Amino acid sequence: MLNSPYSMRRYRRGSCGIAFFLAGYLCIAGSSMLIHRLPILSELRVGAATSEIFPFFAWTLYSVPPGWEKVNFAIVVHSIDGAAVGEAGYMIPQGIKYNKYLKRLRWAAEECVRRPERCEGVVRQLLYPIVRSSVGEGEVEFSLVRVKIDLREIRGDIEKIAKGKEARADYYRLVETIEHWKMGEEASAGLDSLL
Amino acid sequence: MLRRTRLFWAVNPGPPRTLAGFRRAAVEVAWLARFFYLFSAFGIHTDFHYTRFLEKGDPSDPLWPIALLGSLFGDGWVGRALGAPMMVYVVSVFVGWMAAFFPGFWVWRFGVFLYFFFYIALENSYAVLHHAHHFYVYVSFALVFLPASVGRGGRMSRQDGMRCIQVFWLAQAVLLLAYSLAGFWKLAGYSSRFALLSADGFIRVLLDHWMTNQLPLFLPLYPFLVEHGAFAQFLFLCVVYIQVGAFVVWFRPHLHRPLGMMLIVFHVLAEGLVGGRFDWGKVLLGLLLVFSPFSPERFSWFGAAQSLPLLGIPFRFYARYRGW
Repeated sequence: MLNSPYSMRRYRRGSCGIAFFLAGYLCIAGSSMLIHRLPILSELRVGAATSEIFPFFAWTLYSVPPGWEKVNFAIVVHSIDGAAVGEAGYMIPQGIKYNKYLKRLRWAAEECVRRPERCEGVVRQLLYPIVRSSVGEGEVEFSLVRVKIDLREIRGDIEKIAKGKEARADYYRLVETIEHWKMGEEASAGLDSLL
Repeated sequence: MLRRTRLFWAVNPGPPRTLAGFRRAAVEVAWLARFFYLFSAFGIHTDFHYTRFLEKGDPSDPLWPIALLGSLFGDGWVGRALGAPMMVYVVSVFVGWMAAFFPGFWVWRFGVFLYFFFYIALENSYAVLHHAHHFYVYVSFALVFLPASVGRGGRMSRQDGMRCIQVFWLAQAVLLLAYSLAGFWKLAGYSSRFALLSADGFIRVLLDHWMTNQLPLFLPLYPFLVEHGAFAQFLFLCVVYIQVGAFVVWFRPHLHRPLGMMLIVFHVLAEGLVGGRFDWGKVLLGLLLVFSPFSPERFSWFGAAQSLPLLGIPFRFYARYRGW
């Protein structure tokens, strides 16, 4: 098919180009765990959510299985307009993406532990809109808590879970309360990125 | 050296291609490129819709192309640049359509690449990363190198035909390499906790997913999988095998179609069990693997079995023993 030296040269050049591109991809994406530590390349990785350099990626999804016991964060609603909510006050918001909700809780909790002086502002910005959307108007007293989850318990109840009879909050075991707030009538915006 | 590498990995490549066979493959590549741009235009119209970022405002965690734009145009550029969303939408769909109908003109192809590059960078600049659309950047990048005569189909010169084939190789290779890396990290991650061969590694992933994500579509399957943990883990190992071996398949055309179909099935199951959406990725798997112009015209089970990475070795010995 390629019968002239000129076309063979072009063909070889193309093949070398493919090989170099793939080698480059392999180096950048394959070492994405380490690359952000190199000072020059870290400038390229502006985003904080990942260590990869766009558009090279290594797709580490589900690459590490969780342990049987996990620590998570949750919101406990204590009272609404002065009326106590009762024991099962873990808030499971409806109508918003649950994984994003959990990420927000984690950010807020980590920020409160790391920089307590910023906690108030972070909670107002990140958590108030969620609480307001779930609980509605009125004065709400709530806490941000750390909870423990034992996946073995969930495994034992998997039949009930599949039938929708168990709620996630049933498996939360309180470890500690991080902060406690009383929310007045303020704040309701800021849910867009969770929907 | 490249030729030796290819010959080392290649297994049972089928009958040697004739000149007519190469020409046919090049024409098929040209058609697949047109379909890619057609799907892209449709995607820009439906899912890859730029204007939805207007609601989100400026990126909270910009990736470098978006940060670069930000440094050029200043804060609040998303709102300003997309101040005329209808125009952005019309131009991008128009470029997609033009690339489908006139793929020979590089400006359209380059336009589609630029669109995907910046769209996907922007999409991932809000502190959450989704990799499902990244392949569109690579495939559109590879297709930029198509020759100008690609629009002429069967009347392409030999050199241009070969260039079409090389471009398609590049697109396939990047797709398959990404899967291999995904498999490799799974292998590395699971091995580090000695969970790869345990009967509950995948079960823990499923249970954790139920706890931390949207309720999966295939939730009723959970009790079966949890009860038969070893079976679930076996399925997971199959996925790891398919992913790790994906890149080797690049050299083995007998497996292009089966692998494409298996990966589509895998994504359907994964979406049902652990969520996520990979609709547009499935389109690419169909175009690049299921309709691969390099796969043999007649599918052979034995040929495919011989081509399997590692598992195909006994079949190859058997074929050699029988003198096939």
